[in-house]
Amino acid sequence: MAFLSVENYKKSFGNTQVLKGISFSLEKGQILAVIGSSGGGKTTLLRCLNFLETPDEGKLYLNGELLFDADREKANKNSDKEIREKRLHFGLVFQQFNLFPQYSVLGNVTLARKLLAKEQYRYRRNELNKQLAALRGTDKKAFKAQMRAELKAFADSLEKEINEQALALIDRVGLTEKIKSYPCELSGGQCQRVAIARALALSPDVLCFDEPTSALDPELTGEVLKVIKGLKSGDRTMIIVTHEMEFARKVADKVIFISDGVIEEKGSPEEIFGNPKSEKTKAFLARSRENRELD
Amino acid sequence: MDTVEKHSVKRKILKTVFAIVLLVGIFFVFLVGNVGCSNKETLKIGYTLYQPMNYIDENGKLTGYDTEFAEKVCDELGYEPEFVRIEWKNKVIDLESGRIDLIWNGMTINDELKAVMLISDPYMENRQVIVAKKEILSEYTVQTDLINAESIVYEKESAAQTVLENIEGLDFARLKGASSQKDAVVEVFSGASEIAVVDETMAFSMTAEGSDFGNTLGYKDIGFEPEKYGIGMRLGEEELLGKINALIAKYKEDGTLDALYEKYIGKTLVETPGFWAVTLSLLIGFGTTCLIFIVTLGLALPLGLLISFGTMSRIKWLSGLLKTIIWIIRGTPLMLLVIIIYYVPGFITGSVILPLAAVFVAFVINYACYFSEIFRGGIQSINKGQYEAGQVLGMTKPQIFFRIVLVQIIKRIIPPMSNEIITLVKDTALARVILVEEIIMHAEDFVISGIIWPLFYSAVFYLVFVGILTLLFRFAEKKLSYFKV
Repeated sequence: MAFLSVENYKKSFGNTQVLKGISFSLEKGQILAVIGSSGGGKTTLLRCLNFLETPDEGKLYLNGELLFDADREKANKNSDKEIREKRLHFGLVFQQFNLFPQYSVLGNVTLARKLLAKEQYRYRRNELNKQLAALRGTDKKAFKAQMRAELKAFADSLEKEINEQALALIDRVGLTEKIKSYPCELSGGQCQRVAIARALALSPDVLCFDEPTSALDPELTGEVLKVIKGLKSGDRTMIIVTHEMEFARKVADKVIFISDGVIEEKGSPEEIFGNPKSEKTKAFLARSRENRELD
Repeated sequence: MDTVEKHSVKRKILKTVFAIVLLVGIFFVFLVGNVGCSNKETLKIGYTLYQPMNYIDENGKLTGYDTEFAEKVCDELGYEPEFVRIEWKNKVIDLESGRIDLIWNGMTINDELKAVMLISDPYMENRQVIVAKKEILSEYTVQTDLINAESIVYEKESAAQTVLENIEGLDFARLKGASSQKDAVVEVFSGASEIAVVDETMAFSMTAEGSDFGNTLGYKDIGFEPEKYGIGMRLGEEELLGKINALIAKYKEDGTLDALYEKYIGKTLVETPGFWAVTLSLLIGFGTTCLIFIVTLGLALPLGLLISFGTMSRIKWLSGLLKTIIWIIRGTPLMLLVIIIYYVPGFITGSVILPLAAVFVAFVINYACYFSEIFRGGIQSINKGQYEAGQVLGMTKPQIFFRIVLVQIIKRIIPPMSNEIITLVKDTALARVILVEEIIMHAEDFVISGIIWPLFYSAVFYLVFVGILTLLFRFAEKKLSYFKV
C-alpha cells in the first residue's frame, strides 16, 4: 500500500459541492503537484488533509493506518485532542504565511515545539510525582532532590534540542541573519521561508504548500521556490498546490489536475505537461502559458 | 501523556472558572453581609449636612443641634443611634424603604408630610429668609416685594417652597427649584438667580464672615410665617412617636432644648476650612473614587471577557440574551442603574444594601457590557489564519488563545479601552447620587461652609489620575509596538 492514500474525498459547503470525490496516492519521499484553475477545490483539498475542514465522505490512510474515515467520524466525533494528534502528521504552509507577528523568527519556529515539550515535561513530572507519593521518610527526601535534578536536566535537554533544530532549519531557509527579526521587518519571500521552517520544525510526515508564492511579488517567488526545491529528499513527502507550471514540472514526481472538484487528469509531469489527454487540461495549460507570455 | 495533557488543560480551565466564581462569590457575600435589617437596637437617623443642625466639627465628628438632640433621645430610650446621610428630596423613599427610621434634620412640619409620615410635636422654631447680593437686599422688606424679583430659587420640597406658594401674585415662572439649600445659595452667588429663600440657620452659616459668600451675600427676614421643626417617622410607629413626644415635652420643661439652642443657633460654629483641611478631605473622597475605579476595573474586565465569549457563542439563546442585556445596559444611563440597584432591593425585601455595594454592582455590570463589545471587536478582528496556523501546528484552543491571539487582541483594543477606562474614572462621580462620599461630594460639602473653590480643586485630582493612566497606556502601546497586527 502507498504511504499516503486518499480515497473518494467529498466536501460541500452548503449546497455547493467543492470536492466531488478525489482519490490519489503517494509514495514516501514523492512530491505531488496539484494544479488547476481557481475555485476548483485545490485549497479545500489541502485544508481537508490538514483537518481544517472535515470531509463529508472518504477515507485517508497514512503509512498503512486508517487516519480518517468519514463514516466513523459521523458515528463518533473525534475529540479536539484526537484531531490535534492527526494534524501533527501533516504540515501546512499558507498562501498568506500566517506568521505569528509578536514572535521573532526564532520564536515562530520554536513555539509549537516548546508547547509540546511543556506537555512532555509535565507528563514526566507527574510520573515522578507518582513514584514520590509511594515513598516514605528519608527515601522521600533523597528522591525529591534527585527528581528536581532530573527534571531540570530534562527541561534543559529539551530546550537545547529545540533551539538547535530551529537554528538548523532557519539556516536551511537562509535566514540566520534575521533570527531575531519580527515578521513585520521581513519581506514577503523571507516571511514565507520562515513559515516553511516553522512547518518543518514539527517534522510532519506530509508537508503541504497552499500556493506558497501567490502572495509574493514576482521577483520574490524565486527564493521561495528554491527553498522548496531544496527540501526534496528521500523521506520528505510533499503536496504542493501551485500556479508555477515550470516549477511543478521540474520538482514534482506526480501531477494532478483538478477541475470542478474532480481529478481531471493525473500522471507524471512529462505526461501532464508534455502530452495532456483531457481537453480541459489542454485548455488550462494553454491559458497559463498565455498569461505567462503576457507577463 | 494524552490524558495528562487533557486533564491539565481541563484543570486550568476549571481553575480559572473557579477563581472567577470565588471572586464573584466574595463580592456577593460582601454585598449581602452589608444588608442591614431594621435592627431593634439601633435607630437609623436620616440627616443631611446642614449647619447648625447636623455638621462636621473641626475634629471630623458629626455634631449639631439635631445630632446632639437625637443622641440624647436615643440614649434615654435605650437605642443606639446610627446616623445615615440622605438626599433631602429622597427622604420619604428612604423612610419607606427602611434605609432610615427617623428624619431628624430641621424638618418643617406641614400637611403634605403629615400625610406620608408620623411627625413629632414641634421642638424648635425657624423661619425662612431671603439671601441676595448685599447691595440689593434693601429693595426687599415685605413678602410681596418678591413679586418684583427677577428670579427666585429655593430647595425643592422644602419649607421655602410652601412659603413661596403662599405669596399671592407671585409669577411661578420666575421660581426655580434647586436640589438643596446650598445649591440655591450658590445660584445667587453665581448671579444665575436674584433671590434664594432658605432657612435662617442655613443662611447664617453660609454667609458667615470669612466664607466665599460672606463678602457679597447677605440675608434678611422679610416676615415669613415662623415654622416649626418636627421629627419624622414611618406611619404606624405610634409607640415610638409617643415616647419621643414625651421626651420633647420633658426637654422643653427642664431647659435641655434651650441649652441646645443657646449652644448652636446664631453662632459661628466652625472656622472656614483652610487649604490643608480641604486637601485632606478631598484625599479621603479620592480614596473612595479610586476604590470604585479599581473594583470596577478588576471585576468588569474578566466579566466582560466572559460576556463577549457568550455573545459570540453558537448557543443562540445565550448570545441573544446577552445581546439584549448589553442593549439595555448601554441604552440606559448609568445613573439610573445605580439608583435602581440601590433602591429596588429595599422595596422588595425591606432591607437595604450598602450604597458602595450598589455602586460596585451597577458599575461592574455597566462596564462589563461596554468592555465586552470592545473585546468582541478585538477578537473578531484577528485574522482567521492565525487560528489556523496554530491549529496545523498542533496547538490546543487555549494555547492558541493565550499564546497567539491574546497579545494581538490587546494591542488592537488598547486605544478604545483607554478611552473607556478614562471615562470610568470620571463616571465614579455618579456614585454620589446615592450618597457615596467620593471626591466631588466631599468638595460639594464645603459649599455649606461657604467656600466654593474645593469644587475646582477636585479637578486637579482627576487630571493627575487620568494623566498617570494616559502615560500607562502610552507605555503599553509602546511596549507592543515591536510588532504589527
